[in-house]
Amino acid sequence: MSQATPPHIVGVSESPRVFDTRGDEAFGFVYVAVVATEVLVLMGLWCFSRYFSG
Amino acid sequence: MHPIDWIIIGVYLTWVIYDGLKRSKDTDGVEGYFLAGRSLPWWAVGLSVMATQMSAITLVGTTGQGYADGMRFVQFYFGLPVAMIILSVTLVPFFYRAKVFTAYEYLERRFDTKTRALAGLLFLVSRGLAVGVIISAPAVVLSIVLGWNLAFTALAIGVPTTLYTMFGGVQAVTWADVKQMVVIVGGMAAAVCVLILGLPDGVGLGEALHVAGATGRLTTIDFSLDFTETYTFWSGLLGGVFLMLGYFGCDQSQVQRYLTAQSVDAGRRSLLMSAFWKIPLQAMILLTGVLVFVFYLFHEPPMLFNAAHEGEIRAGARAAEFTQLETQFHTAFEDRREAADQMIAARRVGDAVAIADTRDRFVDSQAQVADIRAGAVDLVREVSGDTAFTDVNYVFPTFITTRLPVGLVGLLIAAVLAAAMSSIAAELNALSATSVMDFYRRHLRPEATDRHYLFVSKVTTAFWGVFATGFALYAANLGSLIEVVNRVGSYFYGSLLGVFVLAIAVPRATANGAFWGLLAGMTVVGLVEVTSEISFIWYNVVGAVAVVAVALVLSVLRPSPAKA
Repeated sequence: MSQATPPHIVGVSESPRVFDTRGDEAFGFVYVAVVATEVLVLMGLWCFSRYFSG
Repeated sequence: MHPIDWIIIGVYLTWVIYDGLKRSKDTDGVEGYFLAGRSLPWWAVGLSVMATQMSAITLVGTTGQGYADGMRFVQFYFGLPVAMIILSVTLVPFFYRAKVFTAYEYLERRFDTKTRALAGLLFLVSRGLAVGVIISAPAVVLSIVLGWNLAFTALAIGVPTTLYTMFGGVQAVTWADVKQMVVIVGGMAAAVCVLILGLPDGVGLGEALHVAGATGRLTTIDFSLDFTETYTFWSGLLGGVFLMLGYFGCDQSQVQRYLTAQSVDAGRRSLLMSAFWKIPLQAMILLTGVLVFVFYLFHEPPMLFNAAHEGEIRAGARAAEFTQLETQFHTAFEDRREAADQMIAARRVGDAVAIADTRDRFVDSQAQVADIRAGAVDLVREVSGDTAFTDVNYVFPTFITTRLPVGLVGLLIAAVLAAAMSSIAAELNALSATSVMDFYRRHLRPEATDRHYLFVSKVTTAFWGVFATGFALYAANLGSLIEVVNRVGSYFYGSLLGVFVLAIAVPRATANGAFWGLLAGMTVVGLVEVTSEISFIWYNVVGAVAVVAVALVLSVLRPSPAKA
């Protein structure tokens, strides 16, 4: 069913690695910081809600 | 509107058009036009990602939601940070290293032409219509609130955006987005200052928020597990992850943002900017709506903010009924203001019994105001025949035009226009990229020169701009159609996400499995919508799971020749 790949598209059918963390910098700390920030923001929203709604 | 406000709006529009036209000098090839030569800094791309997501109707609708319903809408975004992390380690490096122009381009490499074409077509149809709605929705609101001609308002939004997107390409889109985010955040901050300064003498911000909290408007988290409810902690966190993965990972208008970044890391950083700032920003916008509610506790608001049918009702047979409701509304407002004052006084004394009593009285009086408003809405619907009539989206624009000082009115209207234009520009640029790269270059002219593709890209951008603006004028009178168009995205994102999951995580998935799985996923979502009450936020989960399940079954039953 596949049609011919046109000349301007390079590469072949392949499955890339699912998780690709390669890059110039390590982002592990940033991902942890994102999760930590979200937890803090949600806790802040919950406390804000409890304080003013109570 | 004061001439100074007109000048501010005029300067803003001239600025974005001039800057966009200036950017056309940096766009000498199709890669520059669509991807800025993959050269943009992460912070500019990050602001562009946020600006693209925030349309004008998001801005005025969210503040209206804060006014009418409170802050629980913020839960809708709880899945966004997690989705951004997942995208940073999956699709962002993947698309970037694949050197694709569009997300759908890879589907041909992994599967086949028809899967790419179907995905591209779904994007063109759904977003082509949606961009018309993105123009028409704020145009309708602004034309009613400001008394502008509807066609003029739609053209004032659509034409400048089309011009700078057409000539400047993604460079113009991104740098305009950066400026527009500054205008939006600056305008909102100014509005918050006015709202706080507008509190009556002696009433502190904390006291006012306690009053708003009594109505439940400051409730931000609801842990109930109810699949029919869109705004709960679990809907936002779990359903929201799939929604955001679909939107940021499979919608070309967002994928194209981070493909313009200087490197894979820059692309990641641009998405993680939203991961850090989106929830606080949405909370601030919702809180602005709550502050508008607080403001109108002490300053009498109009009974209905949407005055579209007011003239018709006052001239009709039920004018006396409407006037009677207004009289009742005025009395209920005075009663609510008195109750709010008493509640604040009781809190100052610290008398727990008095606080509870005055709180109950305030809640009752607020319910009375809400009942009268609901009665007025029903009356408008009956008289006008406009069954979709609502006034939530008119709250903030009405506040801007009637309560802000000269200068700030112009700034805030410019902010609303900026929110509209930033989303429209990104959509036009992405629609053009998909039209040219996934269809024109792929199927019609595969061997033309770069100069030719650049010319066609500009013409295509102009086409989509004219189409969207024309559709906006048509859609302005079709409330139910707007809802239909908005729902198309819910069918589309989850199912497309399922195809990309197959592409990168399921090596044995076949091209036919992916293609029929995509069609089956959208069908299943349609059936779920018709036969169940679950909230649309879960459609993305349903669509993605259905696509993967159907594709896996088909791939096992009929494996591809290479893997058989």
